[in-house]
Amino acid sequence: MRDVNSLPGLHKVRTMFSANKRSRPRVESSAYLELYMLNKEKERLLKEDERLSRRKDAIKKRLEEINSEINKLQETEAAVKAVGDTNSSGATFTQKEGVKKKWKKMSLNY
Amino acid sequence: MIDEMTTVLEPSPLPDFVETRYVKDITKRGISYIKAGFPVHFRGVSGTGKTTLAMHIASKIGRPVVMIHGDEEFTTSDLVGGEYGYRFRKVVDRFVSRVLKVEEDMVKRWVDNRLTVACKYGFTLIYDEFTRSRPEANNILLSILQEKMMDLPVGRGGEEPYLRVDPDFTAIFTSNPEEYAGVYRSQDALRDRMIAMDLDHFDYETEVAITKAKSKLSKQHAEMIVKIVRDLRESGKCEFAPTIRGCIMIAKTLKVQGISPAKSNGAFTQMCQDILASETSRVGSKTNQNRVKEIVRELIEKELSGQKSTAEAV
Repeated sequence: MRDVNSLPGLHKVRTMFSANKRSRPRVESSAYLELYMLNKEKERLLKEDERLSRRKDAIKKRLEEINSEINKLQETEAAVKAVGDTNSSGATFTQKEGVKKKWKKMSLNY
Repeated sequence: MIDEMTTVLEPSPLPDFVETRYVKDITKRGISYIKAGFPVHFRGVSGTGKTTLAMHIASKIGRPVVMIHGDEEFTTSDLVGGEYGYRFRKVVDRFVSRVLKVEEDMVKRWVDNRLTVACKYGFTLIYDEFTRSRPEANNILLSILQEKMMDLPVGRGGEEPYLRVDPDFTAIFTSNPEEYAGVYRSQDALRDRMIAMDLDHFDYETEVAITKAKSKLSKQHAEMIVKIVRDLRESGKCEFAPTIRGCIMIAKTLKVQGISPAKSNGAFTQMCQDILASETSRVGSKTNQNRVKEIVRELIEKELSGQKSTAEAV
């Protein structure tokens, strides 16, 4: 489903430079200027790439931390549930529609 | 407004529960019929272990158990559920001081009974002595067992007038066809929907094991008691055949008194006569009682003399 993140943003806007358009017609003598402009853009993009890779590393690290925390909590919850099930105080049984209900259990010895 | 009962049973065997080859065989057969999707009906005279075996199978199935004991007073609503009181709600709104707003609401309170709960959540139903309920009360079971669907009364409310029976739902029935008091014949349609397993008295090995386990008596004494009871049963001279309960009663009393049958100075004979005469007659006529007592005395003498000669031979 499309959401706000999938909409084209400011960085998608085509600039005169990226469209390779000039307000003045190209002439031989402007090659030096063009080289300078391209160098400037290259520097800017390299810096941005470096910043992004640093950010990517930080995101990856945080995601790993979050995943390990989730696994730990799920294991704890499963253990607590298992103890609850073996305990005769009560248990949950799911109806077909998925409604959970707590049952009081009475032991019947024969 | 639908409420429902919230307590279910969890059957588990006592430490002295005996599982002999005979018990294992019946349990295995019962479970195989249930796995095939058919309800099982244990039919037999008193003391043949119908209810215990039903509970044992239910515990093996491993689902929560709902138990119903058949009763003449039962109607469909006792099984399905019914309207039990009202729920009254009154809201007095004084949020704006010069405005009084009162809202009253009263709804009937419907409570689902055991059968509905078992069908809804796929529990195991043990319907003990179901022939004690009037046949028309059990009509609701016909569609449950065949079409796996339950008709719900309109008065229940809720969104659906029908309830689809959970696939895990299992039913185990017990009945005593020889009971004379307060029982009805089961409907042919209902009987046809279940697999009836006719139970007889336990075999010798099982009776000895049960007597020994329940009373903590020695094997020799348990065997002697079982032999006396079985011989009396096989004599065919009793109004009602004595059951394993008679063996347990004698064995437990003997254990409590802490005496040995051979050295009891007649106390053991008296005890057996009291228990077995009471167990084998309904009205307690003197003639019957005397006859049973005489047979019991002879059987005890035979057993004691047999034991004595065995001891001498050893």
